[in-house]
Parts: sequence; C-alpha cells; structure tokens
Amino acid sequence: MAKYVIKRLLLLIPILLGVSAIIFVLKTLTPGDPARQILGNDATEEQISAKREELGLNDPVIVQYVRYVGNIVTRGDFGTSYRTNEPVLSEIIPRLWTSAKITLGAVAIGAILGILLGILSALRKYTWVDSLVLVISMFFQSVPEFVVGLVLITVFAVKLHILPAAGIDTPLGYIMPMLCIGLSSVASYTRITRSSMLEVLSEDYIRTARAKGQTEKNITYHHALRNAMIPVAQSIGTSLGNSIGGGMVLETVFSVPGVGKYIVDSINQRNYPSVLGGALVIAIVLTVINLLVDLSFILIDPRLKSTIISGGASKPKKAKVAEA
Amino acid sequence: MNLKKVTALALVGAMALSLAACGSTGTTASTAATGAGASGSAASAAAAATSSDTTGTVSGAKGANQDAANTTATDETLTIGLASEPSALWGAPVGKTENEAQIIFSALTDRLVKVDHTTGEVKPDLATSWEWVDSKHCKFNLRTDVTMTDGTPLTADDVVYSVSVWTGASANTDTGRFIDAATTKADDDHTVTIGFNTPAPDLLSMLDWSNFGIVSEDEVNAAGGAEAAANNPVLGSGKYKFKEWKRGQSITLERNDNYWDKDWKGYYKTIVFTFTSDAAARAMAVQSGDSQVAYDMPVSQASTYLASTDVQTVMYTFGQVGHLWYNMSDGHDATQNQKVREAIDKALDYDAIAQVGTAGTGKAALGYFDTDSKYYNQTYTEDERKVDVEGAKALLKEAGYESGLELTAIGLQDVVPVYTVMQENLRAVGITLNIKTTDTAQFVQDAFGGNYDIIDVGELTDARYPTLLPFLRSANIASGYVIGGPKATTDAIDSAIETAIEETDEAKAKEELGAIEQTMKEQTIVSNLYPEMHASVIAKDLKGYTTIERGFMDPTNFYK
Amino acid sequence: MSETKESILKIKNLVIHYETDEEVVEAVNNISLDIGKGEVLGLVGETGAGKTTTALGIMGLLPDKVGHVVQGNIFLEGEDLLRKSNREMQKIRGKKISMIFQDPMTALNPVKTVGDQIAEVVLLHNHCSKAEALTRAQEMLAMVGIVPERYRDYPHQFSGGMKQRIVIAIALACEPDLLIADEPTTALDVTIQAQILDMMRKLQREHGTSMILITHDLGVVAEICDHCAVMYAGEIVEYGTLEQVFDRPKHPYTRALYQSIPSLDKDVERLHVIPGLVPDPSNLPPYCSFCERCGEKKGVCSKYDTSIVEVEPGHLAKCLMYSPSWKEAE
Repeated sequence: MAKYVIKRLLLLIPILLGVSAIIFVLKTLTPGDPARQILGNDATEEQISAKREELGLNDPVIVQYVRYVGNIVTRGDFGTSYRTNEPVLSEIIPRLWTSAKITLGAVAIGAILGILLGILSALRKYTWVDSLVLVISMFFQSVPEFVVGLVLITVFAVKLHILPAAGIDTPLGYIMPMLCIGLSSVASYTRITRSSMLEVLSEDYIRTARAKGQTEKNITYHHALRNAMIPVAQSIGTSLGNSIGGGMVLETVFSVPGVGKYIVDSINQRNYPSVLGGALVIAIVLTVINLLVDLSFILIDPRLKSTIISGGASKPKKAKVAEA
Repeated sequence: MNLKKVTALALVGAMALSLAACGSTGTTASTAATGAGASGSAASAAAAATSSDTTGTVSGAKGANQDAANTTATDETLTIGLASEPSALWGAPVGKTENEAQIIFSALTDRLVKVDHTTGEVKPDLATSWEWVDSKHCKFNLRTDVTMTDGTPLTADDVVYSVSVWTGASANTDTGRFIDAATTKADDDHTVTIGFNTPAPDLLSMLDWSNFGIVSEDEVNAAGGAEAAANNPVLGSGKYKFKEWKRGQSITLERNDNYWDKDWKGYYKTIVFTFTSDAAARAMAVQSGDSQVAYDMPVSQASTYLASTDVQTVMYTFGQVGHLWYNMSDGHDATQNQKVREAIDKALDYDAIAQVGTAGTGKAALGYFDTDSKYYNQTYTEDERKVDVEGAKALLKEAGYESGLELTAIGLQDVVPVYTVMQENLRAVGITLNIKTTDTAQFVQDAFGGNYDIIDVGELTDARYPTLLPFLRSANIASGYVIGGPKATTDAIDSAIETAIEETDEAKAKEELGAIEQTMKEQTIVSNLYPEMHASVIAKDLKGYTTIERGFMDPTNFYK
Repeated sequence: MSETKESILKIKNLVIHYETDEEVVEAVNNISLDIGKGEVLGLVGETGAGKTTTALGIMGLLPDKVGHVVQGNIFLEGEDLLRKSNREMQKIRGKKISMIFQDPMTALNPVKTVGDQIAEVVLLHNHCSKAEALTRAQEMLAMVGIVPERYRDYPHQFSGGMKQRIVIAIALACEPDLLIADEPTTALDVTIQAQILDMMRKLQREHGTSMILITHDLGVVAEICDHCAVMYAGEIVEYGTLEQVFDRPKHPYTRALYQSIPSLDKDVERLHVIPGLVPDPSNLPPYCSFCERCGEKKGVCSKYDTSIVEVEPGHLAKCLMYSPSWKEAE
C-alpha cells in the first residue's frame, strides 16, 4: 500500500512539470510586460528594465522555468505575487481552504441529491418519475452555473432577504455558492447512479439475494447500493478536484475569496506567479484527492485491495482473481 | 489506473488551458469593473484630476455636496461593494495608484486642500490658507486643531515627511513627479512651503487627490514603516480610521470620533468595503440589503436600475470628456491626411455616439473641456456637429479615397458600443472600421506604440493639471508614454499648452485654451465625443452622495 | 404419474410468457410436474427450452414486468405459490425453496464477506443474533468443505469451485425442503464439477432435500437424479424415472439427445447432431414443435399437436406416435 501511495505521489512530478511548463509557455505568448504591470504606466524605460532584471524576466524562458521549479523543490517557494509582494503560497492556502469548504459542501449537496434521485429513477425506471428526475437534473446541468447563481441571488437575497448576496462574512454566505455548484452536478450523479443501479440490479448476486428471500428494500440498500456507488464515488472524486479549480466563475459571482477567484483576478492582473502557483497548488490538490479517492475505493470495493497492493491494473468490474 | 493517470494529467492540462481562456474573456467582460485599476492609472498618465457634478437627470440621485453638513453619528455600518480589491491601501510608499485604494485612503487622511467638485474651487482643508511664493513654491498655513491617529498634533514636519514619501517610491507617478522635495521645507510648526518642479497654478487642485494625504512619520513608524503601512494604514487625520483588512473579503474602517471638523463627522460608525467583481452581483447585493453602495457600475448596466424603486441609481459626469484622436504619425497615411480626418469628423453621428456612450443620458460635446469646467469653450456649434455624409464623401474623393478605405480603432471592451456606432457612420461614407479590442496590458502597449488609426481616449478636464493635453506634448510623443493621441504635434501647439498650464490668470487661461482648441479644430486633430459618466447603485434611503477626485465617490459623507 | 408418492411440489398446466412491446415469447407451455419428497428431478433440455424460466416461475422471480404466469398452479405442499403475496414468497424463498444459480462467479455480492452472505439468509428466516448466524455460516462453510475461518473473506478471494460451494452453503443454510439447482456445474472445470456434484448428492441424501437439477448434461442427470423430465420448446416432452427415460427413451427428441452424447466406447466418425434449430419461442408452430427436426416424423406431425400421454406406468411422452391414429398415418 505504501509503495502504491508513493508511486502515485511520484506521479505528481510529471504532472506539475507539465502544468508549470504549459503556463510558462502561455506566459511568454501573452502580451503585456509584467514589469510594466508592476510599475505602472508612468515608469521609465530604465526602471522597467531594472525590474525585468530583478524579476529575471530577461533570462531565457527555460532558465526562468528551471529557476522556478528549483525554488519550489528546494524551498517550497512558489514565487512572490507581483501585486502584493506576498509569497504566493501564503496567499493561496487560506483561499484554498475557503474553496475546499465550498467544494465539499457543493459535492455533498450534488452527490446526496444526485444519488437519491438516481436511486429513485432506477427503481421507477421508465415511469413519469424517472422522466421528471431526468428533466430537472438536466435543467441544472445545462443552465450555466453563473445564471443559476444570479437567479439564486435574485430569489434568496434580493427578494426573500434570507441569504447574503455575496461574500462569506457569515456562514450563510456559503450556502448559495455550494448550492449552485452542487445543483449543476446533480444531473451527472443522477445519471451515473441510475445506470449503475440498473446495471447492478440486474446482476446475478441480486437474484441470489432475492432467492434468499431478502426484501426489495434491503436488496436495494444493502446489496445494490454499495456496488452501484463505485462509479459514483469515482465521479465524486473527479468532481472534488474539478470544483476546486472550477469554481472560478461562481467564486467571482458570489465574491468568494477562493483560489478560483484568486487565479481569475491574477490572470486579469497579469500576476503570473500567482496564476502559476494557483494552478500548481490545484494540480497537487487534484492529484492528492484522486489518490485519496482511489484509496477510499478499497473501503467500498474489497476487490481492489489486492490489486492496489500489488500495484497491478485494477478494474473494479471484473477483477482478475488468483486461485485461492 | 494508468488510464486515470493519463486522464488526471489531461485534466490538469485542460485546466491550465481553460485558465488562460478564462483570462482573456474574464478581462474583457469585466474591463469596466476590474479594469478600473489598470485603465485608471493609464488615464492618469494622460490626464489629470477631477470635477464631479451630477447630471441631475437621474431621479433619486444626489448631487455632489448638495446636502447639508451632517453632525449626526450612529452606530450603524455602511457596506460598500467595490469592483476589486486593492493591492495596497496607501499607494505612495509602494509606487501605486489604484482607484480602490484612492477611495479608501481618502477616508483615512486629509489633504492640505479640497476641491469643491461642483465649482472647481480650491478650498481649505488641513491648510487654512496658502500663498504662491513664486511660480514653483506655495506656502501653506496649517490648522492647529488636527490630531493624527497616534494622538499627536499635526505639524509642518508631517507635511514635509509626507512629501518625502510621495517623491520616494512614487517619484515617477503623478504623486511624486511634480513635487520638488528638495525645496519643500517647514517654515515653522504650522507653516510649510511645498516646492514644485513645474510651474502650474492648478497643481493646487491636484493636491486634493487622496494620494496627497498627509501622514506623520511617527504613526507611519508605529505601523511598521512606510511599506508595511501601505497594507496597514493606521494613519492620517481623516474622518475614518483603518481597522481591519480581511484579505480577499473586506476592509473595515471605523469612525474617527476625534475628527477635527465637528460639522462633518461620519454618520456611520463602521464602513466595510467588500469586493465583488461582477457588477450585477454588486448591484444585487444592494437590492438585497447586504450592502448599501454598489460602486463603479458600467453605465449601461446602471441604467437598467433607473426604473427600480428599491434602489437609487446615481449617474453623473465627472469632468472627463471622451475624444477621438487621429493617428497623424508616419505610416498612417489616411489619418495623416487632413481631408480624411475632416471626412471622418463630418461622417460621425455625435448624438448617437453620446447616447450609446452614456446609456441615453448624455449629450455630444461641443468643446474639448467638460461644460462644467472653468476652462470650457464652446468650439463647435450644434450645426457643425450634424452628420454630413455628402461632405464627407466629397472630402474623401478629394483625398483620393473615393474607392474606400480601411481603418483600425483600438480599445478596451467597454468602448465597443461606441466604436460600433462609428463603424456604421463610417460605412456610409465608404470607410471600413476594424475594431480591435484587447485586454488592458495589450491596449496600453498598442496605445503607447501608436498601433491604431483612430482611438477613443478620455481626458479629465476639470483643471489645468501639469499633464493637460498630454497627447500634444512633444516630450510625451518622443518618449511614447502617452495613451493614444495623434503621435505628432507642432512646437506651436506644444508651447501654447505649456503657456496655458502656467498661466496664473484663470480667465486668460481659458482664452488661451480656446485658441488651442481652435487650432485643433482647424487641423481636425481631434473629434470631441461626449462627457463620460460614472454610475453607482445605492440603497434607496441613502443620502449624501458626494464625490472626490476623478469622480470617485466619497465613502465618508453618506447618511440616512 | 404416480399418485402414491408424497409430493413436495406439484406444477399444473403452467404457462409462462415473456411479454415485451414487440413480441410475446411463449417460454413455458402448459407443463405439469410432480416432485416427491426426497426426490431428485433432472430437468433436461437445450438452452432456451424453458428450464430456467420454470425454475424462476417456482421461485416467483420471473423478470419484473416482462415475465408473466399466464395460467396454471404451483403447489408447494398443497399451497399454491402463485396466490402468495410477495411478502409471503419472501418467507418461502431461501427457507422452503432455495435456488443455486448457474454462474458462481457472479452469484455472490463482491462487496460483502462470504460469512455475511451466508448469515444473511440465516438471519432472514431464523430468529437469531448476528453472532449466531455467523456461527451457522461457519458451520455451513465447513459443511461444503471450506475452512470456516475464511468466513471473513470476500468472494474474489475464492476460486470458482469454492464460490459454488459457498452458493450451495447459502442455499442449504436454512435446510430448505426443495433445492432448485440451475446448471450448478456448467461454469466449472470438469474435475471441480464432479466434486461439486458429489457434494450435492451427499448433502441431498443427508438432509433428505428434494431437488430439481436443471442441466443440459445427460451425464449429470444419470449421476444424481431419480427422475428425469426432458423439455423442448417450453414443453415437457418426456418424463419418467431415470431408467425409464435413459433405458427406454420414448420421445424422438430424447433419443436424438442420446445420440448426440459423445461416447468413449463406440468409435463413431462424427458426432450425431440434431439437425435444424430450436423453433423461435415467439413464433411456435400450431403443431408439434419438434416436427421440423424430427427423424421419425410423418405427415400428420405438421398438422396436429398432441398432449403428453403415459406410455408405460409413470413414463410419459408427448408425441403423436403414441396416439391411436399413428399407425394409419402417412
């Protein structure tokens, strides 16, 4: 197991190198001089070039890149924000925490609603209930999140005055962003749960359970659900990572000081160290979350344990079984 | 699991790409809001200070300083939604001028003088009176009843210290570049002489800007030195004191109960600034009651709230007039040709442009300056501003462009509606206008470098700042650091502008500027468009809407 | 059919259809069967003959919404199972009738320990604690020849043969009166097949359980059954004791089946194959459904159908050749 975890963590290296390389390339391709961005339009040419020298912007991109990666590896230094002169990492950590709270809440809302609706659809397949669930969940998936966000603000803040329109000064401020991100993912959870439930419900071991005289309720919740949750859990894992980085638009709409908004603001400000740092931290978080999600599958699906420990390929559906 | 690794990598890559994508769209979409910081500083290179007078066309709007002095103080909190979070609150020691910082810092500090933005008149603030010693030196007599945050009284040394900060890290910005620290000195405890390195009587008006806030060395040191104080500005003698900055969330100010002007105490005990880059969300926060002020609304968006009964919409001109400049430098043959410039000038429908630019509330400008400016001259008659397609076509034919012509205009996203009107107007006379919109950084680069045929830039024209008409100053054109303009000038125009800036007699200055405007008209160097507007959405029971420099709202004068 | 023996399960005129929007599949056509206490009945036939459908019909586990019992009765010790409510059936399943399914690889829930899965059925039908149920589960594991300590293991940790032993343990945990085994060894290696069959026979004898063994393998029937019923196209075409059916097969289909068994004794050049295909169950002919493939058919065979008749005591066959008019027919 430890070997597996280490192996997965080592994967971070190529991922981070890839992400940082991509952003470094984008940085060189985008117009606008960071030095001028920092010093403002009044700065003289001498000041600009002095600043460029100070920031190492005159070096070839590859040199800048190696220096950047070196600083991260040797000192955990993700650079300094052009805008505030604070270390990027210390700016990101509290924002990451904010984003994480919203993401967890959103995924919880989305997953719980989605799973319940998915079970309902599966048990009532091809009925009007099934169709209604499909329509509702598709609605929230197809309407852009920020539109849902603005509608939520209009209803709950402007009309009803029960939730704050923006900001997270009070815990109530978390509700709408969570709801908004959560609702948009309900559809995918519903669909995955539904198809997975239907598939599992037609499995032989469900028939075995019926042959035992087990009740339908227990069959649904004790036999089918846990098996059906494997693909759902996989998708929760992916969306956990995605939402942390993907809440950018909504964090902006709801003025949530999360890492997504931080990156968006930094992009607008040409604040490359912050963009780069933000993207890398998200990549790390994403990888670690994926790892944790994979590890958590062991709890759900015992078949994976042997494959993960042995480091082999794992296919939850049809695990290759050694002769016992 | 291998597949998953690949997927993870791909996801990360896609994310990075989408980040970049977000970057460009995000910038353009929110230029009007978040771009304020960058474009504001861009404008300051070109232009100068402020005047603020509300149009009064808007029901429920409060004119600047129209309300009586407020002496009531409550324990209530005022929440103001800003478009973006400043990177520092005191810009001078870190060489920055950001709009949001200016707004907040104006509440913390007082300046030597303040400008009545309805008349342009310079009035006493920390200085009770002043006197020009010579064209570059002005002597100020200070109030004796002012205490700083640390409880010590204001002295002339504090002003000298403040000047040293302005001319330090901010030496190249408008904060420092006109001040001569070397000849600035304290004459006695309450008299100080400030030296300027360029003669310009209206520099006094400039001292009203919040970056010229007076602080004392002791309190700056107590706050951890100038650079630390930039983020922790427990400074000044203003109506409010800095209390807390929750990064990413809010900045909190608290009323200064020892404020020296007992007639103008803050009504609200606490002011909280929040940061919401999305303008609609900012306005909705006011509708919901979460905040009382949604600042810096795009005019077109604010106008949609005009009919709303649950909020007030404030729209006002602030002394900045939009001008369309023709690139007259080499390589721009068409716009270098006066006949072409005249043709364009005749082809444009200025009323339509003004309507679009001000959401239907403004009028076409008949002079270079704002009508409320002390230096306003009506250079054009209304008839002269009428569309003349035939005249334009004839001129183009004379210039040899009867078969058509292609021109490029550059700008930020927010000028697109205006450019689109021009595009239609010019199509009628056979000119194809290409509209090139970019983000702020690219725009600045293009505008510096002259990568355009025509460009719409605004200039603040409420006073004769030393930066007046920067587009026509040879030094600026030589250095390249001016946003827009013809990128060409004549010595005659250059020296005429210098004379007008240095002129000590205001009436004479107005005449001189009128003469320059006539020259510009004769040569068709510029086409005046319309006075630009600011807009905010505020709670319906809020009163005391007043403005400070460059039309920024004054956060300290609100009351109910 | 002998009326003297004490019957555990009596099927009368059972008709089961699968109905979809497109078609009606006549899976079981009017079959009657009688299984005595302690008796082992082999239900033989090709794939699609309706063997499993019959079993599912008995269990009340026909696919939801699609499978319908159109007519007939299934009496378990005199009580008609088709009149029972779902709740009543749940009490019968696993307790009175158990069923073993074809594929042990997929018959066990992959995310539950085998002990839990055995204990589950015990808990459902007995008033006992979880601990007692787990003890019983370990007993059952021992009974099917698996180390009881492995009750904590998950299905994927067992081989196919061991899984089938576990499935059998589940089926027998509540000592059912009737065990339906649907091709219990088909998915297993030949050597394992023999072990499993041996064990099943042993357990069946020890507990006196009645059993329906569904198979397409006549060899398996010969090894373990007392009685044998041959199904073809949803019908029982021949029924009798093992020796009756094996020694004196009466139906042409049964006879054809024997010819298709590879024999080690005889040296035949190639295996006999029954020509033609099983008729489409959604489109059965109004005459004898085996007619098209029958080597002994006459013209009448494609004109009429017949019902099953007793050709000797206790030995039934469904063929026109046992009708009085056969000799005259062309």
